[in-house]
Amino acid sequence: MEIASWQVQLRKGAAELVVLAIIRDGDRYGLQILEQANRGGEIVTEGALYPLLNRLEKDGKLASRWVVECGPHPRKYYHLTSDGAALLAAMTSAWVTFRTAMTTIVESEP
Amino acid sequence: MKPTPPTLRLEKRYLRRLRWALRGLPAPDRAAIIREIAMHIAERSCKSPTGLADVLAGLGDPVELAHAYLENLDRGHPWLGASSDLPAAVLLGWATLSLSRFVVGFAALLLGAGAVLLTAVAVFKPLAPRSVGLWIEPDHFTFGVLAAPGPAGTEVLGLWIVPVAVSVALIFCRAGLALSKLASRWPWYRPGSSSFA
Repeated sequence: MEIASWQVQLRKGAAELVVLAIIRDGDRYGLQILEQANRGGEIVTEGALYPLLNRLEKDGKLASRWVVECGPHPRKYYHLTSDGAALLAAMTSAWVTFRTAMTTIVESEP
Repeated sequence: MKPTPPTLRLEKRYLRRLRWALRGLPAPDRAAIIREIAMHIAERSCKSPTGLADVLAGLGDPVELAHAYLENLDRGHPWLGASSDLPAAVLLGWATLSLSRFVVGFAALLLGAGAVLLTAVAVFKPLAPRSVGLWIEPDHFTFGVLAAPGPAGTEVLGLWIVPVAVSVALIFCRAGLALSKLASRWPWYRPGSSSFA
């Protein structure tokens, strides 16, 4: 498998956890989530973010509201629901286990 | 930065294609998606030094973006198992719906063909009055445009066939258009459930 294709799969798996973790810290709108997620390198693309937000909302993990601020554009702010918080906790736990296992295998000195 | 007319056209075309590609979703869901993407484009364009084209490139082809929305609605999250794997009943529902769409589309096609035939009748009647008409005989009837003149004395409508054919063609046309619209807008996904309209 080419490295670029593998990275795409890696990001795809990580995107949901990253988005939920960002929204855990407070209400966020799409562009804010995108910028925060990609601060340290590209993890979520615009084309993947909005469909993901849409699904999480449909699944009841996120709720949203439109806010008209002083700027020219209304923004759709997302926040975690209790289901979303439970999912985030479960995913975080799965992530920690996964990361520990991967670190042990991949980064251990021979 | 105020958008220029070509920029507006580009954005409108993108959103129009996205709306078209999302036509399988219920109208309120489609409208909410378009609104959010429009807001993203507007805000990102203001911040982007390279302009709208790069913002649209970042979102990807509108058809692929729509596909990502539809695909996301069909699957569970990748780590914790398949919480929303498509059950057989849902797949069966899709198959049934596809068949229904085909039947409705086929009916629309038949109505269209009927309208064309009736229009031909209305057009040819004044040109070849003896070869166009409705002939009623004791054991059968014939309607339409014949290669040779029909049996004398049994044609019943005369020139009245023109307004009758035009009226029925219009009815067929409207019914065919309504059916094709119905087939293209048929919502296949109902939010919050796995049932179908």
